[in-house]
Amino acid sequence: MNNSAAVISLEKKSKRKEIWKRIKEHKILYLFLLPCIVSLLVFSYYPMYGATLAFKDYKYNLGIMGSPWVGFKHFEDFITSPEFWTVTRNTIVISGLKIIFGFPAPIILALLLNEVKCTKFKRAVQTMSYLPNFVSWVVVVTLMTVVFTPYGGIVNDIRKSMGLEAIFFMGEKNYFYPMVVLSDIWKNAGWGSIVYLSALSGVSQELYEAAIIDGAGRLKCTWHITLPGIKGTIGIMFIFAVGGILNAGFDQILLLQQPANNEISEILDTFTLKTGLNYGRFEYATAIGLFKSVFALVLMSLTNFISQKFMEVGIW
Amino acid sequence: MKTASDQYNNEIATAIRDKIGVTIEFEGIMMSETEKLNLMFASGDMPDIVNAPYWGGDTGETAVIKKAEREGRLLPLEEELPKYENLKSVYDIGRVSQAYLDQDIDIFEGHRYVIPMTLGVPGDPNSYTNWCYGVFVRGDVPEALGIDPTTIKTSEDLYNFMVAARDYGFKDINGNDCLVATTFHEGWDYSGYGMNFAEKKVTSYTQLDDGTYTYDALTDAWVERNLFYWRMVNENLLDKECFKCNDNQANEKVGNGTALFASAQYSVVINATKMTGMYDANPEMRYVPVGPLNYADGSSLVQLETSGATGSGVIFFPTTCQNLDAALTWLDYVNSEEGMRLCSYGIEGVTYHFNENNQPRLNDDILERKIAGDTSVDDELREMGIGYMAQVTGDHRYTWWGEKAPGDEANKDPDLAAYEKLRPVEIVEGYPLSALVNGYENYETVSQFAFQGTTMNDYCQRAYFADTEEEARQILKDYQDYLTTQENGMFLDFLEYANEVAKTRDDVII
Repeated sequence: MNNSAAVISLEKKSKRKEIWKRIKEHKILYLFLLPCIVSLLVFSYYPMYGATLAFKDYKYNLGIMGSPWVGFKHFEDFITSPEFWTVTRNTIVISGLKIIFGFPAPIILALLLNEVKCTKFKRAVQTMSYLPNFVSWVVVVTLMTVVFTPYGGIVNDIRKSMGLEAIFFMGEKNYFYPMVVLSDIWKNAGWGSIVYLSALSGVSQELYEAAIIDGAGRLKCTWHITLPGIKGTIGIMFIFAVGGILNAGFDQILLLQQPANNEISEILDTFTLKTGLNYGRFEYATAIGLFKSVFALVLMSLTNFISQKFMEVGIW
Repeated sequence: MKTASDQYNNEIATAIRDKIGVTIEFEGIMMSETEKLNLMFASGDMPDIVNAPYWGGDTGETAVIKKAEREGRLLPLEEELPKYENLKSVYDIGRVSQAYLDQDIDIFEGHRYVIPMTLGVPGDPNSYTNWCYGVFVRGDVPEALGIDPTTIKTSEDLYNFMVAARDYGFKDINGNDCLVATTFHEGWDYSGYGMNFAEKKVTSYTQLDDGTYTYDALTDAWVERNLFYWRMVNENLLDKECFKCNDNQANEKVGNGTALFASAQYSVVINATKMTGMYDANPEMRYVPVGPLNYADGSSLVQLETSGATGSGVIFFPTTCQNLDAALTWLDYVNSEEGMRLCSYGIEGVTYHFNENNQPRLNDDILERKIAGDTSVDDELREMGIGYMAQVTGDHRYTWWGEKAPGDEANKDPDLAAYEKLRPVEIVEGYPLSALVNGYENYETVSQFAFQGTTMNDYCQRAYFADTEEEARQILKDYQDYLTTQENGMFLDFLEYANEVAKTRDDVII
């Protein structure tokens, strides 16, 4: 036993030496990692100690660590608040719709772009589709307000000229979900397609040539070669999307909120702002944030497990 | 806030420094005051002097400042202020109300931490600012419809007036279709359209026929008033975008004459038209007052104020303040007649002169440019340090100078001046019930679900967009149920307390 333990220990030591040797050999490459590690430590790990605020009764003069503990009080307050179910449901519905309609959009766009043979046209379309990503939601929603306003907006002017009544698209409850999903697709599909386009470039051309010889058309090639070829990327992106299901898009939703859609547009993030941050209830806001994170972690683990089981794709 | 680009060496800062040896550098904020206060106290990164809203109760900015007061983050002032001639009277009853003192200032074991700002001076009604709230209509509308807007006194009158305006087919200055009625940012102030449903009172409590008090939102009158707004939205009278619009959007609608009616402060409506030059090109479109509407009991609308402020902006000094004496010396000086004149009018001979009544008046060249609407003159004055430094505690400006702001006397819009007389300031004596109820043992809890946040607004505004009146009524009832069922009916217990505590004084007002 002792001998085998000594052998394992020696093996470990030699492995460690091996790793250090490799690090020394490629030290410049590892140096490139440093900014990422530092930024992770500073912006992701260091602030984590602030999560303890969720379990404290925060006092300005005592600071985060000095404030008294109150256990799960803020979580109880949140879960027993009358808005809890409405807000959680709204968040999941909006994120769910975004996943159902918004998740496939960049994949479809990438597949379509992949089929375009004229390089100049392809690049022009790609560039145009990326641009909305760089426009802030404030600008997007302002543009939408101008376009869809019932008082002189172009869409309603067209409706009026056709003898139809003006519709307050931005304010009516029935139009809220379509507005959210479509504006989200418009803004993010182009940018999201980059990942898939890069994955597509890795699919072997020989497979297509062989398939064409066997008589496969474009649709069959897409279904049997392209999609399986980027399955891994789709799986990973899907896991991330499900993990972020409670991030329904704070700035977009806040800006699109109107009195008529308030019942279905109040999401966790806007609720946190209104009931927590605006009133200095940092601990309450942190508790909601932590609740979100834990829920997202559970969902992400579950999706990862399912994905590994059925698609053989996982992030760990 | 805008300041001189050189805050240290401009003419006014230099003159103040020469006089008292203190210079203050101002920093405005670009976020919500509550958020900024929270951030400031939580981070410990605080200026020497802070000016912030303190409207009383346990909501918004007041809640944050009170938390800081309780946790010892502010410097006590009760022993300091009597040393300064122009600051020693800031807590006098009449400047502040007894209720404000009892409920919001004197609640920290004998310490006073905040200096109330821009207070009316006892016995001087001119010291109160008349905000000139009301409903205003584009001048050519009543003309075309043959309606005298000053005869509109009830909500039904107003409704019929608006329907007639909607059906007439007016165009704005660009020839586009008009909308009927709008407001400024986030629905400010759509309540003006429903003032005929309001009682003449200063709190959100109502006295029932049997003499007991209840909360406005639990009454039928509240429901009816909100149903009136529902009718306005439902019949395309009230701008559907107004509840979420910003001032720029509102300025465009009013400035172009796209909105036929606007409800806000008259000066804001007039300013919107100045931006587009609408009055110059279309003088017939000048917005004119409607009514003013009457209260529900038929009495004339006034700007009702309590005797002494029940809330105000305040100045306080964080414990990190490096030199309280210097800060108070500066505040004392800018509240003297000489200091405030320096901050408001500038330097004698350079920017102002004295008139025959020995009152300061801006020099003619400056005044002429102001009257001509040349806004660059304000920028020039600001660069000299004029117009942003005065931090007013007791407001003597009208009594001292016959005008509150430099140029007011000569530059005041005649319509605005006339409207001030139509809706004058009226001072009511007594102890507001809203201040008395703060003593309820679970007031913080009640305050959280009933008074803080946007819950009431959310319900009401959702009701305005309901498809039918029944649906709107149901949403309003849902809010009433929400109020009375939270925390096992705590609000009903709170109202019982309100009725009990109201019996302890004979000067209670609602």
